[in-house]
Amino acid sequence: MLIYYLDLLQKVFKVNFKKMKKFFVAAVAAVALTSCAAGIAPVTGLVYTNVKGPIAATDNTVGSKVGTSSAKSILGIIGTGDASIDAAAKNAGITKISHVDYETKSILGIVATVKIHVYGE
Amino acid sequence: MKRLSIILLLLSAALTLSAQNSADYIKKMNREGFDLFFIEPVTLKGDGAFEMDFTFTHSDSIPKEVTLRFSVISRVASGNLDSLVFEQDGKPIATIRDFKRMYLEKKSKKWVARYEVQIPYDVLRIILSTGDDLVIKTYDGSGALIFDKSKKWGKAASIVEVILDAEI
Repeated sequence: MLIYYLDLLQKVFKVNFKKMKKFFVAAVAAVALTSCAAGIAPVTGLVYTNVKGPIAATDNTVGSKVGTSSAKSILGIIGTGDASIDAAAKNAGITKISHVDYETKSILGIVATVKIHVYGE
Repeated sequence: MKRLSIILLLLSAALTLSAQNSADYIKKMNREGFDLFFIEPVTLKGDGAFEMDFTFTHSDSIPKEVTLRFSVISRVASGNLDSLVFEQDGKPIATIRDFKRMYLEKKSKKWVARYEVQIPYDVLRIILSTGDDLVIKTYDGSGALIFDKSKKWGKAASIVEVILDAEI
């Protein structure tokens, strides 16, 4: 069916798909690259990203506990982990959150990690 | 050849930029009346995985206690640990008991047990001084789990030691 439509397009628009091979390869690569490994980041680098920033702040007093949680992505194909605020708070026994930060790292879009830091008491 | 050199250039740029910062291992946060230190989680592998982090506050004098929080991730549930032993060169350097279990849960095929315990600051310094030779053993009624491989611990410990020498 696909071949039939391609033939039809070739005849109607007089397009040679064999000559457009490079264009298709580039298009596929572009689509693939848009799903490269990436995490939360207001600014990103194609080669390297190492960005920290805030997620939330509350009225609670700054405590003496710190909890972390993290998630990892490989090539944007496999993504694992639990980078939730809840997981980070649970890991340190925090019940009153004062603020939350994130830390994102990515190398060449191959590996990306997001780490959440929760502070509180 | 040109493409290869571009790829190599990008790789070397990425590796240079990704050189580790001390903040990847220890964070110092200024609070009203004290500083909060957090030694980032480090994982040791062996019979599963052992992940630990340390938190303590510091004002004027040397801190007395440090909070050690650790997770034991293994195929068997380690919900009732008796003791945690830190070893160097086959000799125990610190034995810790009386933990408070924070939670026990099953994730996929593995059990995650997380504990919290207060340890003396001196014990933290002893643990840090082990470098790459650190071996951790957890004991419960059914036997021991051994964790002795870590890519990060040696480097992390040496960087944290330098920071603590200067700050505390």
